[in-house]
Amino acid sequence: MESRARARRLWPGPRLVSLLVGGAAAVLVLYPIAFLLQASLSVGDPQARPPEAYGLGNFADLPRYGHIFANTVSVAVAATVMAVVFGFVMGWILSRTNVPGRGALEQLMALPYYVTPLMGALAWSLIGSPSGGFLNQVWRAVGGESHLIDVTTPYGIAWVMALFEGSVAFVMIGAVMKSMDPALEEASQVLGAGRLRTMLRITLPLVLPGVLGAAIFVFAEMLGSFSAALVLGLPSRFYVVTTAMYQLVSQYPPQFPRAAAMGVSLFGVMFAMVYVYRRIIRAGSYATITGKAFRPRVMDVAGLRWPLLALCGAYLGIAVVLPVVTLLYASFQRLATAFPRASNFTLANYETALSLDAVRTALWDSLLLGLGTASIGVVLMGFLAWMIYRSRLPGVGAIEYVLMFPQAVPRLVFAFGMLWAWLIFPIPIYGTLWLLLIAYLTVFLPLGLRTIAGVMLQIDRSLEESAQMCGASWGYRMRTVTMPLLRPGLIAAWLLLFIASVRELGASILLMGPKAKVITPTIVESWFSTSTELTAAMALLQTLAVSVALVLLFTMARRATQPAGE
Amino acid sequence: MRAQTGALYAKITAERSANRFGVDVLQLSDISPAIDFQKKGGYELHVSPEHAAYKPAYQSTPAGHFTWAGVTFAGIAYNRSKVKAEQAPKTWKDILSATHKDGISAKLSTSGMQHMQWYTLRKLYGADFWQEFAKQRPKGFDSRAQLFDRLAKGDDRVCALAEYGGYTLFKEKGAEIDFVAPPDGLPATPALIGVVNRAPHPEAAKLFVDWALSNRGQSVYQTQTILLYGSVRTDAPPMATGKKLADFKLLFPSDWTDFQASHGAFVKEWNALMGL
Repeated sequence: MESRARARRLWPGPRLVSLLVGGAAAVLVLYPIAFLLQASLSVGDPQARPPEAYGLGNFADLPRYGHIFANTVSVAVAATVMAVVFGFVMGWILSRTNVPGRGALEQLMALPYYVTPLMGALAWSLIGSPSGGFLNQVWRAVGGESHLIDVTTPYGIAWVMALFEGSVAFVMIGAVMKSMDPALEEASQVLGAGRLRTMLRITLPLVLPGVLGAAIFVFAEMLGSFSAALVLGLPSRFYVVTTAMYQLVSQYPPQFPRAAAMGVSLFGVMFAMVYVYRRIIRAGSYATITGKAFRPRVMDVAGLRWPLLALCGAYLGIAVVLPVVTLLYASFQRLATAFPRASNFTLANYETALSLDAVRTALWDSLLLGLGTASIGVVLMGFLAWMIYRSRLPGVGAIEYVLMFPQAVPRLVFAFGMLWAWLIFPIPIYGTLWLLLIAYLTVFLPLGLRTIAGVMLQIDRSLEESAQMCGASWGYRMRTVTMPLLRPGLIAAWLLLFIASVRELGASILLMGPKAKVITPTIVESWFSTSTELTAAMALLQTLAVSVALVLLFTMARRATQPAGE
Repeated sequence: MRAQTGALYAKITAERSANRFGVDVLQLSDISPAIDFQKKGGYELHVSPEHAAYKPAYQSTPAGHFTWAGVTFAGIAYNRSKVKAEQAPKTWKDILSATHKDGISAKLSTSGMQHMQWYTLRKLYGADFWQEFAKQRPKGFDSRAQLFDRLAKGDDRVCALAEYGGYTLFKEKGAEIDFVAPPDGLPATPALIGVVNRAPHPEAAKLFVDWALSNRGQSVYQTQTILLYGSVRTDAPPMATGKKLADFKLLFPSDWTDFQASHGAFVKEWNALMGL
């Protein structure tokens, strides 16, 4: 008894743990940011490190890129609206209604997120380019004029971004909806409200923190979106901030200071978004999980089941089946076309992709890093979410702002901050997988935090407080009350972090070394130097490997958590 | 590791400024960073036994810092199904024809080859040439593979910076494209290879450079399809197409110092021309 009491005294309390974890996370973010800020203020030789002179010249120069900022905001807003609407509608159908085949549909719905954004963009480029797009070739073959669709327009780019980079909204909103007490919706219906009215007046307000969190996250993701704008924007001379920055840092001499100033200017946008989010969640209570017991039940939508199923099918057809089939079709051709001759078909792209040692090593490293990032990240970010939204410790609001930094600046530029920061770090982790792990944990802090926070805000504080009143220690409360209730959010966060890590590009390009290669930059390199067809084969192999890994991991996890005898 | 010149060079210089030396051999397709790297003492002086087969013009001054491992050169290419034979460009000035407006592509300012074309054609036709070209609303891309991928699929009708290596790669795939070598000449730029100072594997680096400059290495440069470079060795064998570099009229700057000095002006004009 006495030894237990002594152990409890030695065990660090929530304040100390919060200070340590919050401080470490803040350092992870602020350390590279400091280098980025320093670069943005450099007005001497753009290549000089440390800068030769300081000034505000790079910021003063930004207005000449006004059209690029306007392009970025317009395409990001359009893509966010589309992604959140898709995410909310699909999340509601699959989490809250009794549409047939929900389990399978839910798995399929996350598929676009498994695919690297570059592949999504390439697939849609193959489908909807004005001249060479398969759909437009078919259109002309049946007598149509010019083209049916053009994905190289700003709306086309926003569409592809929403489908592939915004699919995270579905996972985030879906996790929130699963944690909702159905009694509230049932009460609404008992009182005479229809299904649509219940969805708009009950479901939507209750999941608002989750939807807002997803919207803010997706908007920030769209601001930093690169692949779709690169593949589909350049053909129409449509630049966004990320593609402009990429050009600035890729040319010789690289214009880092100007690119860093562009990136830093996005911090302002992100701060405003976090501020709005915090104001909204403080203005009301969004707890749907209270001391009152409930079983997650779905709403019987009767005859609407089939139209809703058709809607899900149509979404899946456009977002998943069409791009994947297109890539598959292209990957078996020498030169992809809608109407190939028999001699155009080949297995050479797969032979080449599988023969590359770099691909095999990079794929393995990517899966390993995904596992590490997701597992460590869920614990770290779960704790940070609890600290920010539950602990009432002083200064947690500031920590939230700090942790959102990586989302505000495109990863390619953030990666330069990390490169400069970790190069001079005394422990030699530069060029190893450890640095990539640290980088991923840093850049995905906002993703994990937003996903878990959406669910955490739904859990009424009274549950933890009741346990505290009954004498449960902080650790015991976390283990037996908070964590089990957070489970859907934690699983969603783990999944998102795993996939996001495996498909990460911006930070990996600069931080990987000869002994630490990852797959997505290898695929991008293939696109730059070989062909769309080989790139399609490589990306499909990556998607297959990720899917197999996820199935294995979930099967193993299910077996491990099954009670004996079942 | 392969990356766009600016990003690659920035990574290496950042590593070296932090006393981290992970690179054995550096190959750049732009002479400006190669000379900058030489000025910074980045290369290990290595006079390869293979240097005897390279004219002094194809080596750094002094020899041993970097050597021309190959040359890429560009003409014009067009899609046969999109451009009628009588409208096909035959000279550089034909890329200014209004028939090609909104259907023509080139590279972005990240490309050393694009800098070379801008410089050499500006010398031939005057500064207005590129201002006229801007009216075509050209589309800019990063790599030759992207340019030819689009040309082969008909997304662009004409490519104004059609590297021969890209043309052979896509011709082999059965693309309906033709290559035009304008009589005034083809802008050409070298790939420069050198052993990096304080390389982690210095002897292996020297052996690799020796191999790359040897006849065996050069035959790989000349025959591998993805990044084909023609050899400037005096005894170089023909390329896979049966042609030698000497079969083409190549355009190089007569004053390399002036060429390097023009880089800033090129980037400024080209970015504006590409809508950046």
